[in-house]
Amino acid sequence: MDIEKLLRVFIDEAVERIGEIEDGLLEIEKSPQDMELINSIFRAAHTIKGSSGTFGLSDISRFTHCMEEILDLMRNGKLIPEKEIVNTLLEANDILKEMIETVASGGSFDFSRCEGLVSRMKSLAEKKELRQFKIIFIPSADLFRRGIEPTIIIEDLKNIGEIVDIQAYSDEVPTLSEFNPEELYLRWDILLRTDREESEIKEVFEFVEDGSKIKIFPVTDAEKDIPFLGQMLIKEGVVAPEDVDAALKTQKRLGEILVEEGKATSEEIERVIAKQRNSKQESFKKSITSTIRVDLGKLDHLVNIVGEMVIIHSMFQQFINSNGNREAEKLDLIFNQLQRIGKDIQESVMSLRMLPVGEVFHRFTRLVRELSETRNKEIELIITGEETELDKGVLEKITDPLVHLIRNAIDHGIEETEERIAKGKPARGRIHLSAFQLGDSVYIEVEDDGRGLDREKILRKALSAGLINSGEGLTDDQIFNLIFQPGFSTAEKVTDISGRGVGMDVVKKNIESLNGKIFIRTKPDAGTTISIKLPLTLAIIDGLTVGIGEEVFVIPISSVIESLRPERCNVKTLNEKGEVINVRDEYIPLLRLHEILDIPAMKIKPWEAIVVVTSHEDKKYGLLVDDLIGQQQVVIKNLGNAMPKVRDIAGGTILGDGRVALVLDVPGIIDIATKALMN
Amino acid sequence: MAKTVLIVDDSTSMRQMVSFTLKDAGYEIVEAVNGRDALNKVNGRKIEMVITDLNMPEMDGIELIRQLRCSAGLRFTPIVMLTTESQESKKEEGKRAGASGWIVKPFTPEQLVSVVKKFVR
Repeated sequence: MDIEKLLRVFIDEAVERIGEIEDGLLEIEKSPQDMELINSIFRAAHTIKGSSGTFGLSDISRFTHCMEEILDLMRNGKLIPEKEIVNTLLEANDILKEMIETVASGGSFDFSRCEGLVSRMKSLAEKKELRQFKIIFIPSADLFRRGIEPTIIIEDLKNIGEIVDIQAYSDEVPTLSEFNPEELYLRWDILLRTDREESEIKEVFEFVEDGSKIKIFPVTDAEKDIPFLGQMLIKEGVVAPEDVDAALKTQKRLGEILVEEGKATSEEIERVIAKQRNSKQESFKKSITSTIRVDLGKLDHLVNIVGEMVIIHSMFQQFINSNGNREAEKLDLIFNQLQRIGKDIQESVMSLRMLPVGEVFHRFTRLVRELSETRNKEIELIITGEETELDKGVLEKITDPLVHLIRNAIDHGIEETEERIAKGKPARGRIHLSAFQLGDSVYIEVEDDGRGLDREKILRKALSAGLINSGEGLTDDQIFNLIFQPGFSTAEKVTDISGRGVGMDVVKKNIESLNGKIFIRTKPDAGTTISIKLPLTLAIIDGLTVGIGEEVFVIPISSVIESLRPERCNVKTLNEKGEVINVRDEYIPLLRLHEILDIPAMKIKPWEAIVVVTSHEDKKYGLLVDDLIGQQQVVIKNLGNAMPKVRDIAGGTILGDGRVALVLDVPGIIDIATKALMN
Repeated sequence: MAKTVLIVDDSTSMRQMVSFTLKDAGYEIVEAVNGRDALNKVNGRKIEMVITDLNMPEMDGIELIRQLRCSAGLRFTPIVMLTTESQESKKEEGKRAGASGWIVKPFTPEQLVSVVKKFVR
């Protein structure tokens, strides 16, 4: 058979296939779910691509490749056969028919004609790929009062994609006495599968952006990490691991093969390998020269200076506010600009202290691998948000708590493999370590897909450990939070992994010492998430300035719940408990700051003074002060080496009016006061 | 039951355009020519949404939003303002007063309906 005849066969076959593609495409609009139909169209296009390549018709081959790519995405469910896509494919099929006819008549096809179509097909294949986004939506509490219904927004998301998973969190809902029905306390985590861009998702939230925290980030597909062939063969039970190892050992390196075949000498191979090594080092050097190492002391000094600039700014602001005239208005305008630049400088200087969490996160890969081996559980660790940055100081202090949480997840969270299989869960357990920034906070979450916290077990344990007297009236949240109580451990037998009940209380203490908060979300058999909320930085905090006698002190806002002036009848002295105040039927210990700090106060009677209610380890304490002065950002400076470490003071700062004030260490003060009471 | 939308604008042509578009989309319409007129018309009526212009005689849109947010019946009702590109500060003021959303003039009927649908179903 000569080439002419072969080409004839190819053309006949191609025409037949083109007919099949056309019929299939017309059918697909009616039944887009028909996988066999999509498959048959794909096969037809694939055949033309292959055979045209064989006949040296590379332009036709390339063209059909574009069609094939779109069909492949459809076949894998990543692309929905919408009208636009089907029409494009039909158009392409018509052009393909013309191409084949040109080949048949011996003419030459003008391929420049289809450039536009090819780029359109390429963009379809790229753009329309379905991606998953995780959306964290913490709506502003006043949404209802702004006439906005949050569920409509979630409905709107359904218009641009498929909601794969949605969870509403109610952990911020207060107790009934503090509940305000006009406030919105819920937040949502949503997993959205869509072919749209991130900006289009953002648009849905257009009217709720103000005051809400919205974070949208793409979720990388875990299935993209396709295992090596050997691993897959072992998993499928085709061969034993030893066989793969043995086979791999017989595999020769490329260099060795070439030398054996006499295509190159070993010297030549060596020379090129050396060259390769050099360029590897070069590229490594390139990747590190974009950073510069700076002495931490210099950096801290810079942070200090910028801190002082922030103070000068507040002094300036106070001055302008107290000099109300026409000039002041103008000055205010200029000052606002200065302040904006100042804020930028402050932020970028603070960012110098920031490090990505990735380095710390990746240390856990090893930990998880080792621990899962010793516990004979199959566990994979998924890390997201490794580029999220945290203050160096915070990062250092967060590592130990994270080790603890991950150990807990492996030891208590993830079930034995058999148990997982019996429950119909994937044999391999998953721990998801993630970090993300929302507003002024960074969240770090350790999420496992294990058995979830056992409410009853925790209750029993807490009862027997004497942490509570009865479980009645406790909400699920309150029960789960018992695991943070000192002396609590549910491990029935002590293991070498998660220790001996010196766990979660220490974790919580560490997080709180960083002004952070820790939350639990858990669902039976679905898993547990421990969420840690951390401030972006330790050095600058929001403070409440209060007056006691002649002095001014700063109380970190993060530990303040409210401030009030109690009624005379609500101040009582209880046996063994000392002074308390009744706040909406809750008795809160009253700590007289002037006594603890040993300075004279102006107002001794609580009903003439102010009580700042703070929280520490889930208990409330009222701090008695003379006056509230205001709220401002303060830069904490440590008191220096000359001062011995004092328990009740966290540091010093300079106020807007130039005065020096001490920043109170609330946990320290509560500690001192409760100890004094016990004695 | 069709949802009722209150349209407040001193410009007759604008009112008619919005009214026509929304009637076509299946909404009931109540029209008012300024804030004071609007407050009179909401009395005793069930209003599911308000669309208001900002610059109007007698009582402007901002003041109307403030008043509606204080009234028992419309505290939680969606209010959308009609703004222009150059009214950025007015828009901010409106948001502070309690507006739920905004549409920037000029807009197409399709844009109008899609914004309305963001608030009432």
